[in-house]
Amino acid sequence: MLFTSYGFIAFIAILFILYYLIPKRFQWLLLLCADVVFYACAGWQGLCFMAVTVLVSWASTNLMGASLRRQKETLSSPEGKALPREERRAIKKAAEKYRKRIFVLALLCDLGILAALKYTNFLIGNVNAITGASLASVDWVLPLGISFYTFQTVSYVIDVYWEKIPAERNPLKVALFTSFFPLLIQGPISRFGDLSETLFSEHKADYKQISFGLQRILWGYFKKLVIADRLLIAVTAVCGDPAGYDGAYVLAGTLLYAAELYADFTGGIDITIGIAQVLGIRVKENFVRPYFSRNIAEYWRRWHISMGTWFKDYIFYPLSVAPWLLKLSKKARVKISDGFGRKLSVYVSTIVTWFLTGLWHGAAWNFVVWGLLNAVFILAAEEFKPVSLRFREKHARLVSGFGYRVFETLRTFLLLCSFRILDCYRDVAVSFKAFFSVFTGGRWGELFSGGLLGLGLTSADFAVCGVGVALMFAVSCVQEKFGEVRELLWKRKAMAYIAFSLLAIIILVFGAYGVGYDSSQFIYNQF
Amino acid sequence: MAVKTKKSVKLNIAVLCLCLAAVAVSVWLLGKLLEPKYMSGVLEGAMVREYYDEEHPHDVIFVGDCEVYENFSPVTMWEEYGITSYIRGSAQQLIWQSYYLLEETFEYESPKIVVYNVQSMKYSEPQSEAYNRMTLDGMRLSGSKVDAIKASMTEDEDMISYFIPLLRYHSRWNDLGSEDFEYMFGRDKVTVAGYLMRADVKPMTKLPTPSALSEPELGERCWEYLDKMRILCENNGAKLILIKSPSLWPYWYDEWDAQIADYAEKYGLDYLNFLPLADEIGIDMQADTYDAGLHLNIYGAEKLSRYFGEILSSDYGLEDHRNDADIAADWDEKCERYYALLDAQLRELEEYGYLKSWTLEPEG
Amino acid sequence: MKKTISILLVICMALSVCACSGGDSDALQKGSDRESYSPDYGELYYEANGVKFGIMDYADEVMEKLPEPSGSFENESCAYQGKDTVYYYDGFELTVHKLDGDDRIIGVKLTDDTVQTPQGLLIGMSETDCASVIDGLGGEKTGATVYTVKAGSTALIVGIGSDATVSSIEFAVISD
Repeated sequence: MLFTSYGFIAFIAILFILYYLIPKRFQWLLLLCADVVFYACAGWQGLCFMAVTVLVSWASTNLMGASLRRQKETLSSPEGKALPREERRAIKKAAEKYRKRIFVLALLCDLGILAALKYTNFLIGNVNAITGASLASVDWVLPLGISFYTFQTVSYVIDVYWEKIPAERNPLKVALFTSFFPLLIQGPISRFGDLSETLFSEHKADYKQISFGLQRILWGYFKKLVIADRLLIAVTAVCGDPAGYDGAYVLAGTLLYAAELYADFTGGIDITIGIAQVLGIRVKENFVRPYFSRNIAEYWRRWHISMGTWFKDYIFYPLSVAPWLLKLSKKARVKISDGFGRKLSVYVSTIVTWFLTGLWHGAAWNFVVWGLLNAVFILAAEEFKPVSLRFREKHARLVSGFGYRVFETLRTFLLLCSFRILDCYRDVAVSFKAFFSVFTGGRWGELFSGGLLGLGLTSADFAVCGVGVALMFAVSCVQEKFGEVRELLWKRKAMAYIAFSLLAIIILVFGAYGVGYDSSQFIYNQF
Repeated sequence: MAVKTKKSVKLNIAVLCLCLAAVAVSVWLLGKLLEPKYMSGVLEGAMVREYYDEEHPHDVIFVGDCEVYENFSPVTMWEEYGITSYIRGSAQQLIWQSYYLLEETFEYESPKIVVYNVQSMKYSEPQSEAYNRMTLDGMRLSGSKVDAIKASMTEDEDMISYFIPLLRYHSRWNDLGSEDFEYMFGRDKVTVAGYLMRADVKPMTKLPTPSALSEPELGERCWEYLDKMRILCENNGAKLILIKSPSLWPYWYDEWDAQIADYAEKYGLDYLNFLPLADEIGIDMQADTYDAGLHLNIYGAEKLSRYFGEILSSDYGLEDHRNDADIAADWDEKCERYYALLDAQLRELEEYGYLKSWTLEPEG
Repeated sequence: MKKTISILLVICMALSVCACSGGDSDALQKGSDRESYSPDYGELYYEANGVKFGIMDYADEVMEKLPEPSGSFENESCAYQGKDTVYYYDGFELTVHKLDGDDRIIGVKLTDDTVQTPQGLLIGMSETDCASVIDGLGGEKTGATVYTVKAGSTALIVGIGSDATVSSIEFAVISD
């Protein structure tokens, strides 16, 4: 069921009404039923894989929880307290070892399913390329949103292992956390600690919350249907034919892709968070106007935040304090240089984190290279920090000016657009060729004398997209300066009603849906 | 305080309802504006809805595709024999659509004769969204319409967009023309009693060679609907006549003909294949067709109608209504429109060499 | 009341499961351009006046190399859609259909025994000879009186008449 299908809209409409009609203690169970319905639509095989994941994470966390309880009980009992220190330590160690074993097994199982289903063909392709073998690729079903729910589950298992949160005893609650359907399509990758606060609780219908949720859903559909799905036609035309559209077209395609990806992804998240809000469930924000970022590191704190923090919390931090890496770093300080040794752990952690981030986006080298490029630029920025600071000190007036801010923002934006070429063309060599052709390929005159209109969109379509993007930009500016637009509008309710009624009509008329437009899936649900 | 909150909740809900109503009305109005009007170029899409304007019942109802609405002229049958007939035809009307249109027709009147042209028996699957729209959009909301949509939808279609036209036609915002505003709430009639007139002539030259029939059996689904149609007519006291119009193309295979003839014999239906009777009817494909043998023009249609009218009145004993003042007045108006239309077409033919207002502009 | 509405909605929800679409629609299919077009008919082409052509070829490119057709027929269906044009040549007919603004060949039909296909098929040849040619091309008997060979989007369809000889030979677009 796509977010943009009539079936889905009917589905959530019925869910919303039912949710507030049934006794509140059953609300979360209704959500679980809705998840099963939603997931079953994508195929029963997916449901089986998810069930395994749920079962494994529930069992493992409860075993770990029980072990921890036992350990604490033993050690805090009078008999336990009376034991000698070594023995107490031995009991603790044994329990920790047991938990670690369970933890590793659970991770292997959860990540194993993801790895097997998603990366087997990538592995086979690479083995074939390196060894010259001709292993046949496999044709396995990739369950809907597997990357998202696996990461969510893994974060839960890790958090329980790290004793940050207690294990949830009710397997159905674990199932709901894993399968909460709005999050399945494209995240945000939520944490058990955050989501459980509102996911399982009872909710009274709150007029303002429901209105805000519905408003956010509408705004999401506007971005998705009016802007993203329309631009997709031109983006597909450019990226689908790298030989035919080089030079200026690549830049045009990349800029259109930037707008399309933003509208698609943030639109989808708006729908997700909006649905959750109508249900009274708080989901953490995934975007904070990322295109206003002034450097790449900042961008990654504002774009797909839930993914960034996941990798930071569960890969980067643990890795940078991993005993083996610290040892290596110490050795390097002695053998190579003090400075290098200090940085080594950060370097390794950053590179590994971005390598995995790339791989998470897709089982292909273009994503890996994309991830590594991000790492290289983030590390380079870190390296050049002293130079940059000196420059800033020297030109304090210039740097604090609006013009410089715009320059930094534009620079970051264009840099990220360049990285994204790898995502557009899905092939490393083709992407680099396309990138360089922007400087060597020319065709600027052709692009603006009708070439743009050969990409499948009419001038009226471009006008609609232009107005749509301007509206998104305006809303972002207002958010940046004054805070939430819905809160501002709520103060003048009549305005809110008129604005969102109009928005609904605009979506229905100008949305790129139905016969004549191919309904496209959210870009991110492939990940 | 509680009173105030209650009041504000009530106010909020009232305003919300008002907004929802405004959106609903806008959606309806925009749907009206954006749906194609079929008032020029492709007129076939405007035909189905005209039936509801009929004031008097008919003795004969035709259902089928262009082989009925182009080839039979109810006005001629009225003028010659006083037969009241109506063609519930539409472009590429598939048999399930014919069936549901007929089912709907029986809700409005009780014709004595139902004529179904068997050419569409060759299609046993939904064919094209555009044609579905031309047949189904014009139908009034009814159970028959819902069933017709269900039977007709191609894979990519959604039922809901048949009821909320904006969902289907919203992308026309960029193609709106003056016609869309002019005919938003009311359309001109494009047919006379369901007959879509063409007064131009394009003689037949040579017809293509028919392809080998890889599957000579007519589709199961078609037989199913033919059964339903037969039973429907029986239950409503109407006599079902199967015909094959004398259009020479698309090719009507002997294998198909034999199957229809067998079916008719089995159930005691009459089956009239006009193809071998063309000479007897007097059809001359040098003068009586407007597209080289596919469809008859008005001259051919009048000949065929005279021939068929004779059969209907003599063999089926249909009553001559010409002495019924009420009905005659209605048909006088139809005849008047018929001849005015003919005049207008002849004028355009003289002026432009083709029917500018009734066809798409010729290419090249 | 609440209960009744709830039950009704549960039923609706169950029904909406049936309404959920099974397959994901393909991403935007880019119409193939003339430059990037390559035939997919393999051996199933026809040859006339030294010009080889087949299904989905661009009609204008083929027709400019062929002599002038002796006539044509516009095979219109009701209203406006599906307008095909049949061009008559000595011994065969060419059916052309407009697709994304370009005329493409969607059918080649032999009309008499003055010509034969490059595969060695001829109207009037015996069913046994025909069957061995079809067999050699990897085709098979697909109906009581029809043999078919398929390659890419082309189907070569041979009809057998009541006298057990080939009565029709046609290259057509495979329809699903």
